[in-house]
Amino acid sequence: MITTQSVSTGSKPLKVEKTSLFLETLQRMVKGPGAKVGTALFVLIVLASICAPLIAPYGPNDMDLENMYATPSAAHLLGTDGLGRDQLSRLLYGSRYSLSLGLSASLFGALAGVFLGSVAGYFGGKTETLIMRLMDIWSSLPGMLLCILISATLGAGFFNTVLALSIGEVPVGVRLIRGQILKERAKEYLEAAEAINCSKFSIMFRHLLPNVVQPVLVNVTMGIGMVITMAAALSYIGLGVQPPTPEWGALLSAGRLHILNYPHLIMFPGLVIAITVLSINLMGDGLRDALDPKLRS
Amino acid sequence: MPPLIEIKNLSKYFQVPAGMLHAVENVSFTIEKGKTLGVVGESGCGKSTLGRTMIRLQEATAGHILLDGEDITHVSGKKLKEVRKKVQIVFQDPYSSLNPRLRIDDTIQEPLKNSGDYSRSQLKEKASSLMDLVGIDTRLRQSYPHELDGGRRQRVGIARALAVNPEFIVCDEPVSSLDVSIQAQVLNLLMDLQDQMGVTYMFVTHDLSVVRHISNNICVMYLGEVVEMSPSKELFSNSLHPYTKALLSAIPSIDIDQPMQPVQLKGELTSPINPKPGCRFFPRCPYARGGCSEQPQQLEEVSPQHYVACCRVHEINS
Amino acid sequence: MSNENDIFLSVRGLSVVYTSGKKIVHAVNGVSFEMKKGETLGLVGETGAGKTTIAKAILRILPHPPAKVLGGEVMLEGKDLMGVPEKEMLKIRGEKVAMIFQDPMTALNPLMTIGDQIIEGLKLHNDYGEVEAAQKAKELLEMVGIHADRFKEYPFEFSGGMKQRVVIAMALACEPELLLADEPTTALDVTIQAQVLDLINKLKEKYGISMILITHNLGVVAQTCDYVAVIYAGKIIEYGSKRDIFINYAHPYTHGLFASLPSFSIDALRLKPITGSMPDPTQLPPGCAFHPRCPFVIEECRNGEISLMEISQGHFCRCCNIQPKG
Repeated sequence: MITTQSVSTGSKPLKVEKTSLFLETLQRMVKGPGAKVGTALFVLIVLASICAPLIAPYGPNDMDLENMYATPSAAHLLGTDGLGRDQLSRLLYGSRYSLSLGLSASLFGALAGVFLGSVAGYFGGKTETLIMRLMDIWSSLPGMLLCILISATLGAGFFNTVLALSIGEVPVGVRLIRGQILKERAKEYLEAAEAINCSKFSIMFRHLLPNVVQPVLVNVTMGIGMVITMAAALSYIGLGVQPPTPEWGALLSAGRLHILNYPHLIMFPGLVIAITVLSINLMGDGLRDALDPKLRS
Repeated sequence: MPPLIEIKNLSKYFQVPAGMLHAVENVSFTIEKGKTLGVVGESGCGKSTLGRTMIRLQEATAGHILLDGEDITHVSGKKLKEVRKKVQIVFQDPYSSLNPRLRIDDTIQEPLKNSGDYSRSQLKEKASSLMDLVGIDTRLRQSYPHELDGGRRQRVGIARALAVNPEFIVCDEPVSSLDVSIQAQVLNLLMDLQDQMGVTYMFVTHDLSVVRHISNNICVMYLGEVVEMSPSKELFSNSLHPYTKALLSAIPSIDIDQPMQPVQLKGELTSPINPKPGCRFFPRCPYARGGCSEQPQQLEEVSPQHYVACCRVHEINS
Repeated sequence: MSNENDIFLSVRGLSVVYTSGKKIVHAVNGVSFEMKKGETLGLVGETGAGKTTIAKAILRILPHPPAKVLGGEVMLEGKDLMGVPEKEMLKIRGEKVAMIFQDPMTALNPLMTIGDQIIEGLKLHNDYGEVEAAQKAKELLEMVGIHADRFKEYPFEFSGGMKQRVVIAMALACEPELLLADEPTTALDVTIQAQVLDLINKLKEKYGISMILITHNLGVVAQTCDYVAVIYAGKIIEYGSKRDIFINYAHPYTHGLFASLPSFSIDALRLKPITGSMPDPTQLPPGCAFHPRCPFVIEECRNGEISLMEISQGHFCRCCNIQPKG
């Protein structure tokens, strides 16, 4: 008869609440002051974006022809542009474009990167060599240049811009995931999964991926900020989304001609971009610290 | 009754940049049902590779593995899946052998799910009874591996290996990473399970005291080859191969009135890559003579059940 | 414990905690012992008992935070190392007290040749020129059984056992008086372990070095140590000469340790493990830390401070229900 070795050690009963790894990570993520601020700010920005139609004082294209180039006042909190359109409303509506561009491009790039990286890392051999050399070529082209090239080729429009923006993210994701897989591949729990008759598919997606995806998550989060800036840059040079879409970069672009006379037209879009990117980066820092196993205990 | 496991001239080589690594070389032995074969050796002797090759986690380069008389050396597909239900493995490192993102009851249910023999409700029940069997507290069954200590994690690994009722389990250094008092608990558990379920073990370790306690027969490996094989007690009371003698003399004894007199081996381990023919222990052997490095050493039955691979075994032990 | 004048190292009431968030890990709880010159003391215990923390506290290399030395003194030849300024400590480390760590794979810098690594220590503590230091380093390598020709090789070119010899050479470079060896042979194969232990013993004899050997392997203790301190949950629960501990052990934990070892002479059907596991160091049980696992527990064990009592000349035990062997 096998006796259970569960002798009480005299200390308090062992922790029994069922915790979720996901919730635990979220809790750890918002521990630091920077992460708290960043996450709070980002949540606010997303909420403002979602509720734009409710909180914007005017429509994004409503023209107030009597108040063109108005400086900030009670009627127009952030002033108006050359066509009398309220800046605050345009920024609020514009956040929808900038954020969704940023998020979808980042996500798309990450998914492509994770997929290719997993295939390369798990199967190894010629497949791996082929994919990695392709990534070498891909990443030898300067990111911004590639982005501009693709945007110019595909033309304007939301989806074309997402594609153009995501293209630069792929090699980074591939390298990250493949590197993680190389490290993780030697671990015995993967051999164990094979020994208990798990299919190759199950081993890759149920066992391997969840344990290697963390650095990619951090990378994606940090990448959103960069993508938003790149989207703004594309609009600035006339590619990407086209007027009258109030994307932040487009607003920046429109404002640059009047930088001396009406600085508010370039200042507020610039500030908003900076604050958003900063909040995302602070959040990303928190996430990276939360996921770092060495900092865990 | 045929033995449960029969290994015939099993070899496993790896292609490495420097050449061909002979990890396991021409190994042959049998294991009877319900018994334990201990495999001892130091780093680089190939014992872990041997274990993994036997249960098909690695593909053999040459030779045959027979399970219950059936040749499973190169089976694949459905047949391999069936074989995997009969042979299992318990790993050395309790920290890397469990998926850190799965709760332990999920880890134990997985082999049951893969077998397809259990319905959803039966899964939980069976996993629960397995955890009872290996002595895991009910309160801990929803834990993640990092919330448990090494000994408990190892019990999870054992439960996972037992899940599909295998006939044969390779225990690859299952207690080496554990504290002494926990080692004893886990060893007792393994022996109880053998008595209860009649499972056959191959127990791989470098710890000679542990292997003596748990094994019926022991096989000593050096650089991929079996150098000596005999019943456990016999190996310790009457070791014949120079390497075995050196190994046994090196164990620090707790008898303070008997200071150790370890046989001093010259030099370091030679390389298993593109090895020369002849005895692999030759460069370090205190009894080495010219002839030793010329022909490969054959396992010879020197006394009943006691095999030694040394061309000078009779001279050395006269 | 012995004549005042002979004492080389005296540790009194050493206590160390680690803080992790709101939790406090009581790693070392009032440890005291003494050593004479040339002796070897074995600190025996399982993982988490606090042995490595004691050694690191003596050398003052504990990370502050999360570690905090709550109190205690470490008198090395009359000087309290706990109160010495860091500048002076820099001289003491390496010159008077040296440490060998457990894992030879990570103890050496992979980017420096082993010759350079030994020279670094030599130049820090002496006024050697380049040539002189190199010469001394080569001598040290020969002393530990490595060909001087390997002076310019990198750690990856050495096996585990050889790496550990290099580590020993580095530790002995400045001829320390006290050597702290933290599980020096645990990561090594048994035949290599025998060689390294033999080397350590010979060097100890030759240079009259005092040594504190930390290990969980009772066999290693039997072959190298003069005195033994058994540590459990940050406290010394038994202390004595090798003979006291191996022949006349008294504490139930020590009983348990010896009983759970598979023996080469007795053919037991089952081993006798100690039930349960080490207590959570953030929530140590009241009274004797071992009482929840102790087969001889009585009421007094559960409360209050149990002190070390001298049960025979030089043999101490922290137990209120001693079961002497035999």
